[in-house]
Amino acid sequence: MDIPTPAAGRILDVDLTAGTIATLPTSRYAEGVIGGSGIAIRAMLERIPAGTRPLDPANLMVFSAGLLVGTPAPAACRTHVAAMNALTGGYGAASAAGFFAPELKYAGFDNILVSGRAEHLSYLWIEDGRAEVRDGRFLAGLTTGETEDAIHAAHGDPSIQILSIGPAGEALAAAATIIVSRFRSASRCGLGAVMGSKNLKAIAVRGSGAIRVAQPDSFTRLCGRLAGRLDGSTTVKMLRRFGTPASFLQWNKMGNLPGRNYQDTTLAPGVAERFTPAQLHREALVRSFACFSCPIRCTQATHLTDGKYAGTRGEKLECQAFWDFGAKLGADNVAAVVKSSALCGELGLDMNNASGAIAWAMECWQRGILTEKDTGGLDLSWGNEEAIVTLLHQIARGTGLGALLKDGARAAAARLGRGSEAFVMHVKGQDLAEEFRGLVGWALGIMVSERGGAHTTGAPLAERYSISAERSRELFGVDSAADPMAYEGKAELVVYYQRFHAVLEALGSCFFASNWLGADLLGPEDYLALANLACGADMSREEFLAAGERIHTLQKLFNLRHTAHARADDLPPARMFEVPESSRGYRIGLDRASWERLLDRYYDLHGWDRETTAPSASALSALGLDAYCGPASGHREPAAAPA
Amino acid sequence: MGMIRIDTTICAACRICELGCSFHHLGAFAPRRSSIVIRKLAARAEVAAEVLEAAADGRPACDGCPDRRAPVCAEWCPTGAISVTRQAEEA
Ligand code: SF4
Ligand code: SF4
Ligand code: SF4
Repeated sequence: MDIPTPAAGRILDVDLTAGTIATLPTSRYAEGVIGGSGIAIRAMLERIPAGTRPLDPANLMVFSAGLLVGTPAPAACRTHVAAMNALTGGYGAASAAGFFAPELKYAGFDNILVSGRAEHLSYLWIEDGRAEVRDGRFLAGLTTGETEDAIHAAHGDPSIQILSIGPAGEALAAAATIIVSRFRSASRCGLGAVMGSKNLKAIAVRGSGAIRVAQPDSFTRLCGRLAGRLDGSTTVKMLRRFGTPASFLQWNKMGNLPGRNYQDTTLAPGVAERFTPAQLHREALVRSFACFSCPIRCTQATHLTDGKYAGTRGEKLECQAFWDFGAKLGADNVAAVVKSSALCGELGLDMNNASGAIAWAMECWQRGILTEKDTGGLDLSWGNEEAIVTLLHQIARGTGLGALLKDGARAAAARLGRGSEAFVMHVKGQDLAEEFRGLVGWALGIMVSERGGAHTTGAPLAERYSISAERSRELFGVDSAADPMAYEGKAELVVYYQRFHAVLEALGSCFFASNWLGADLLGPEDYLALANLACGADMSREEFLAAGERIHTLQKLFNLRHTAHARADDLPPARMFEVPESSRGYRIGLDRASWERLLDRYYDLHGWDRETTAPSASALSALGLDAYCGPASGHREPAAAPA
Repeated sequence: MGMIRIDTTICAACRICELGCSFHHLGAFAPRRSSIVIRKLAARAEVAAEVLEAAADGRPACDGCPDRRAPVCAEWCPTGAISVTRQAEEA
């Protein structure tokens, strides 16, 4: 008899053009990549033909539940979504916590592959080993919350788990996201637009099956011990009370916020007091929830009861919302940030990309490049909350100025011209979402991310949780986490987290339980122990992290095949090498020559070419990826790379 | 037979109790086959909870975990939302 593993064992394969649904064994793509997101990139490499564009029917979307999802492993709940990126044309992926992925596993599937385009708006209904594409025209134009309510009503069951797009995805805005479990966003990479291009409004699932592990008693005991460790952590205590927004003012203190489209790195004088955790609690927070199987419960439910936004409800308020709306757009109060964040969720907008485009427009306004004639009378002064709310609606529906902004700042500037290109802050075509001039490793992790920026694919937070050089060496093998502005040892730190993040993603585990967020949280060895007990395996730490390197390398190969990305695309926007007047006195500022040396070191660690960034044949071979050598498989030899 | 009570104002809706309960019954993880039903009412920021006294919809009745030191649901719950009153056999 086979040893049970926590994989459901099957992949659902849906072609919306042909209207066919098949199943494949998970083992078809799982070898050497753990599961979840690892399976996604293997399927994408095999099935997305060269020359495909993001909104073509040929683009493949992969929805994944990682290996540990469905078990009591702490916080193993994430739904991973991957497809060709609507903003960069390369690798695109995002994940969201919540309840969808475990339900998918209980319904019998580890992944869903979706290709083609349905004839009209549809949704996919999955229940216990079966699936069908259903007419979704009754969902047209609905917000994500309304979509969930309508599907629950149609099936007469509010316990069905759903992911959906809002008006933004239907309008094919590259700023569109996918909302999971009503309030959680699979942000970045325009995945909502890709889903919209397939006429797929939602996926709904109900599963009553069981997930098994190889050594149930030892496994559940370990889960209990790890939950106990999380319970004792001071990082977790903060998360429970305030969620990630608790750190907003710490970023401000470091001078590391994206103020007014990265023109300032701190809040304006007097503004910080309005964002204290106590103020946040008073104005907006109701209670904290957990995602499936998570002992951390960082998810803050929000409810504005006073003022002009009274009645606004949301959940999963993140620090990122304060960066995006508070700092980047200059909204100077909690209510405006909470409202904007909740509105993005309803409209199915990625707040990072939407705020990036608005920030560019506001800077154009500041410089007289955009005027009332262009904005239909809207005043785009920094911090104008009415304008922000109006623009979010317009971007989601492609109306008014939203028609210009909906595909991000780079596309908007290319259309507008007038010198506005100079104010686009982007990574490989996707709007930059973080300030990083005060944290060298953080900056590197964001700039070299295969998904086009964002901080969940290798960017270390360790530089800001102030640890000693000794502790840094113990955890990461280098001292560098102790000094945010050191360059030495930062490539190593980023590679450590690229591998660790890739593994966590393949397991379906929320990063918030890991040492990414705090030195006292779980490390690779803890997840390795979980995986080994769950699968009855005896993987070594080296093999485990090599799987992370393998997954990352496959994502790199996808970019080499479908984009012209090379070294120059790993260079921060010019503004990030300047230090604004208002930020003198803070320890920030990147140096161009040091950055170039850092990149060399980074490519060398992976065994990638310093100019084209292509993996060498020996680097591929060491990971057992020889089959991907050669131009037909996306691997470009340095000489064949474009100038 | 024990009495399981869930304080829905403390409950975080993590459904770890459902995992534990199904593990007690099946030795596997199947929240929809547990005797405990946690429903998050997300739009209202509330939780509804129920412990089944009779089998229904493929779910077994709560047996109070007689073979265990403590009910698994309460032992695994990370918030302390589950309280147990264990009555003497003859009561
Ligand atoms: S840490 Fe927060 S986001 Fe992650 S699974 Fe737990 S509650 Fe959800
Ligand atoms: S006491 Fe045992 S059987 Fe009853 S709900 Fe709790 S875990 Fe399930
Ligand atoms: S384990 Fe506790 S906190 Fe989690 S859902 Fe059950 S009762 Fe609520």
